[in-house]
Amino acid sequence: MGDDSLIARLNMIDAQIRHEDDLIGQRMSWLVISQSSCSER
Amino acid sequence: MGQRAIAGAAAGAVTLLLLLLLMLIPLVGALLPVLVLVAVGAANYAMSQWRAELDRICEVPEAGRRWSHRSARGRRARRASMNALTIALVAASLLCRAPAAFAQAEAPAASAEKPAAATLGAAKLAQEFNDP
Repeated sequence: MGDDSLIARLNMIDAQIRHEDDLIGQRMSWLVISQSSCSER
Repeated sequence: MGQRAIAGAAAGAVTLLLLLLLMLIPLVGALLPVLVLVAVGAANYAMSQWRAELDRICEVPEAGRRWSHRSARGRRARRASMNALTIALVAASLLCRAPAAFAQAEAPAASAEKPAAATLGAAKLAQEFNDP
């Protein structure tokens, strides 16, 4: 595996991990917001 | 006759509203958190798969010579502690009430009685308005 392709693959994995991290953050926000709006009632 | 029909329609509307609430409350209260938690678990699993792929690449000798990677064991331990913390937080958020709910429960009930000063002030204002 050449350096360039290895770096491209590592960058791709990095982008995927960041994407999943963002998704987890969004979903935890949904959970917290929905639970807080439920407990307000 | 017309009043009875209107009363029947109102009762039907109230019944429909109650049925809608009976459907919505379990949906929002139970199904939505479970769905969101499953989605979080799915994202967590996907992330762990990508981490494993990263570890696999970094364990290749020619790659590991240049990009040293932190040990997978330490990351696994951190992930286990984060999982335990997340489960504890979610359980606490589901079981415990928010501080606002406590404050609401402890607040005095709004009574129909008005303070005497407010009643007197309103009476005086009404008198001045009617008899300038």
